[in-house]
Amino acid sequence: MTRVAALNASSWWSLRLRWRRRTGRPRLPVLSMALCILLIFAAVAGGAIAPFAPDEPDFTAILAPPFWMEGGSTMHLLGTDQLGRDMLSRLIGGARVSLLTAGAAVLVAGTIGVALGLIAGYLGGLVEAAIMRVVDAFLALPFILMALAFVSALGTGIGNIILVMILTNWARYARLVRSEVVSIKKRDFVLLARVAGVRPMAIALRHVLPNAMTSILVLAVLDIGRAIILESSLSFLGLGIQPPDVSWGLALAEGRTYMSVAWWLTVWPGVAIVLGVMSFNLVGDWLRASFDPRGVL
Amino acid sequence: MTLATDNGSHQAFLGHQPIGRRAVAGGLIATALASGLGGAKTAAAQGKPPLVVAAGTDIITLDPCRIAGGNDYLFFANVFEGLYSHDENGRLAPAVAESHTVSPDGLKYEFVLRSNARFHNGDRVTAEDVRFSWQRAIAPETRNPRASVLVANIADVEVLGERRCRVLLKARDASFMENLGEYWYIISKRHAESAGEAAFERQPIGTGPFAFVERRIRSHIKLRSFDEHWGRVPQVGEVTIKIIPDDQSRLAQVQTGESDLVINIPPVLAAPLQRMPDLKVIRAPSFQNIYVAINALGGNPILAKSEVRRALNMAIDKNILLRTVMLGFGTAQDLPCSPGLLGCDVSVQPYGFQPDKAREILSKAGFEFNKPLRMVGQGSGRVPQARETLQGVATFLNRIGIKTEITMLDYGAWIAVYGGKEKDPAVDLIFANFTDYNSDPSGRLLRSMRTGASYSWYSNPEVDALLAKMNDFSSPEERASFLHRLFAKLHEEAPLIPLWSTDSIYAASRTIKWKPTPNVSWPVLWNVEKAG
Amino acid sequence: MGPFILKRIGQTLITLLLLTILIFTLARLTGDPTPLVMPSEATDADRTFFREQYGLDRPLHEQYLVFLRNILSGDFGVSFRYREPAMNLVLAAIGPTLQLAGLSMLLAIIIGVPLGIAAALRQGSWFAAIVRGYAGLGQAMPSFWVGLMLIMLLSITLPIFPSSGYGGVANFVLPCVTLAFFASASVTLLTWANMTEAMRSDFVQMERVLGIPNRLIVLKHALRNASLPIVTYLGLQFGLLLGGAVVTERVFAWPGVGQLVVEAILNRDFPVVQASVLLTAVLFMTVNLCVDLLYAVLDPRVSA
Repeated sequence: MTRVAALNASSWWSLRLRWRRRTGRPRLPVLSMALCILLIFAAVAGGAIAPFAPDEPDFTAILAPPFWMEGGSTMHLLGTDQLGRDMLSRLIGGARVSLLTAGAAVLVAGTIGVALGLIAGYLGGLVEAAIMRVVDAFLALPFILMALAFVSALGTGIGNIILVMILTNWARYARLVRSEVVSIKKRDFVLLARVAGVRPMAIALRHVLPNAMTSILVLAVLDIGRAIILESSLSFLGLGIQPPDVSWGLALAEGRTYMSVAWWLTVWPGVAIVLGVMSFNLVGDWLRASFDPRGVL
Repeated sequence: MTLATDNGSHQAFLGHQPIGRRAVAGGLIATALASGLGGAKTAAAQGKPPLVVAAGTDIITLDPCRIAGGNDYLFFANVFEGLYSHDENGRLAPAVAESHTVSPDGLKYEFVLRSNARFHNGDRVTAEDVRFSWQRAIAPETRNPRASVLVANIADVEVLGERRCRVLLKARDASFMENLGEYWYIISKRHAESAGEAAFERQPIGTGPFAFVERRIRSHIKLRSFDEHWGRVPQVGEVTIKIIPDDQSRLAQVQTGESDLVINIPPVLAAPLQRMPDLKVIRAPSFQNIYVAINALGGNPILAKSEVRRALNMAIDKNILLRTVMLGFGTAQDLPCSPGLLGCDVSVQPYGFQPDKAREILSKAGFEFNKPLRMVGQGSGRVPQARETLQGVATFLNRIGIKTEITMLDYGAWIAVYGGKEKDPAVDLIFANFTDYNSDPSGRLLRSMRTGASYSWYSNPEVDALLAKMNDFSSPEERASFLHRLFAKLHEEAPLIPLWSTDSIYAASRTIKWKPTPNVSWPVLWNVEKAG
Repeated sequence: MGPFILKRIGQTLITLLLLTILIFTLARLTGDPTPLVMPSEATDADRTFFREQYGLDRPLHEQYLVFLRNILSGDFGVSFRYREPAMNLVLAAIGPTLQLAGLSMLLAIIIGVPLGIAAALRQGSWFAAIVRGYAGLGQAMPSFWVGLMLIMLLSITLPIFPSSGYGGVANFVLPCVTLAFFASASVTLLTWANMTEAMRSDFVQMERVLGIPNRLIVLKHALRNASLPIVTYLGLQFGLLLGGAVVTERVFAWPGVGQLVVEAILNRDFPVVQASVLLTAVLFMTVNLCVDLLYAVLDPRVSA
């Protein structure tokens, strides 16, 4: 049953785990760690390090190219966009929104999913059946379609985008944690605790959860990359983050119409997305390798 | 448990026409060939060059009595005609009719039909067809959602002879002639009666320069040149209209030579095209006005004051926005209309860009600068640069110290707010656009200025009275001066911030020669010429 | 064995029922379709008639029961927008989507499996690093971006392939490559992982000790052991591709289910949203169910 469950849940990250488990230590952890830290720093510091406000138009400097090109200036190092807003500042502001939405979504979705997975896996029986059928229903919907429907229902603010990502993500955590719990539950130390008369919930929280935590953490880090991609896809379809907020996905989606006039509108946010997603993925791999060198996971 | 027994209402859920489980292909592809109508005449279209057009949005219906919006004219403006329509310069011109006379009281219109006007099945157009077209358009079972504009006001259509008929109006309607081309299409009585209820959904037959060949929903529409047309015989043969929603993919069609003509090019994509040697950008002014409506209904009491609304108008430099955001593809407007629209040629003193004066007026009126104005915009849209436009407007408001809070909505959510029955008092300013189907302004004015109208965020009994009188004229001169007064009043009242009217932008390959009909938002294709 | 199959089928049916509630609610949540369907000239009476005609004026639970009863009799309603049975629209669109997803899957296997095997055999080499980089990019690049770049390069700058549309063989190239880029990344990593595991297994180690040629070990034993999870995963990946096609279809104007449902959501065309999402989900669940049953047949421990 465990194997079937694991395969059923084999959405992206569980696959990656299996890959990691079998191929050993990753490369480039230092570089990607550094990148992640830089991104998080940009997201936190935001306005303090950005040269301009990310949504401040300058009608005298529309579509100014990056500084090394003819017509560019060092005032706008990476150029400006269709409303004359500084690209560098928009990338920094975008890091904030992209990481905030992705991070918040993963955190909350993870918490809900973990809680339900724990309950389902530990209690079993009817509770488990009920929770897992709902999980199945959520997992059977292509997540981008579900996200689109939710967004058009709820609206497109940052809060709603986070909510949508939570709604589309929690089920995968629940399924993974449940299968972890089912396998851990049968291990000797849990059986012993039970015999010793420890209450079921206490066992779940004190013994089962810490053992499942490693995989949850790794999945969460890997999921940040997914969330960034999802947000940009939603933006592409016109239902992502909306102005005056800025995000990488929005900048990329808005900039793409200017592709042949001003490449910098699409290249910079594109690079930011690819680097961001890749570095979070690599850090996820590295975390797993460090926490779980025996590859038990 | 009402449901289990309630068979009648269960039927209603399925739609008013019983739709069986047709074969998939049969259901989705409407084709005229099946009826044997197209076959014989396709030969005539041979030898003429084919034309491939790429459009962004599929049409909704093929039935001229169920038109749901401007985009449907992509089809109807090419396949159907009214008694009168507009020529290639956008001027009113006879179509199926060759001439008309009006009675002095403006209630009786007598039309003489062209002797050589024919339907695509070869039948001559008769006065009986005109009468039938009216009857079908107002029949309750047709459920024509736009009947109220024109046909519902017709008391009777009298058949005076084979080619003569008289239309009697219930009330005087100065917009009658202008609206004939878009709100009352002439259809064939014989075809409709022989083909039954679904006649037009499957095999639409009109009198236009192109005949319908085939349609595949969400994929393409095929037309062919109708060579027996009374006067507008196309130079091209078969026309394929491909549906390609994504702007860039659509534009790529003409860059790769897969399509000859691409419609609805956003300004951003059009600008660099102008430098490409084997392509050309074709522009035509349109009646589509972009503006920001002000919620003057009292949700925010300060906006109910006309001087505050005027001050908001002064705060915005629309010329800069037009140049930067729209890259110049449009014409700045100071009135809620475009010159060329009847009555819009009135001269008013524009508010101009006077930020200091705006701030002064606002302070005097007791405007609370620290309370943000809540603005609603169109996020993903049908209107190019809608997001940038609203952000640009907000920037100018910010510059005189007004705080703003922007919410961008997708088109469906936006129109639910904009056209909702109850106007949300929490919305202060909303990005909007309106367009007319012809040079008569009554459509836009009645729908967006009158108290309680679907797109109206404004209410003023004085304006309502003027609007009620607007079409009650028989002398065009008297009406024109009345419309001048009306527009001047609207300018003074400033229920909205007019920004500009957009250009319709097309990209075409070098082999195409075409002058689009001005002031419409859809392509009229009969005068397209293609070399080779 | 038997009870397990019955249990799985039962679970699937319950999930399906929950799914109908979820889909129905999602569609209704998107708001009132009336202002989108009816022109601004329509009178209040027209609007009321529209709502009554489709039962939108009824309480939600009643609408749901009617929806459920209708789909049980094979009736998915009529599109608000096109006045065409919703299922007809979906069935017409599912063909292009399945073709696209199927071909992309095939391409992903052709690229991914050899890359994965080769990387597994050259663990730690520069080649493995390049493969890792390829897979990393495949995951990290938004597919609309890849698609637009391909159009820019291979149909505008070098006019080799048509930029969009459905029809000829050439039309398949760019959308397939776009989707396959994304899918091949996961196929590569999966093959890599399973090959590595198979190569480390006691059986293969023993064969090595016995001096059986490496090539033979790889082809005959390791690959065979690695292939079951790969094949299984491909089935599931196919379901993911159906969803992933949404963006790709939009870029290439592919008349598939992804585009249909996005358009339907934006137009608040409930019947089409319901029919297309339901059909996609059922496809996905059927694959899931088959995978589980297949496993039960192949691996008797599962049913225990």
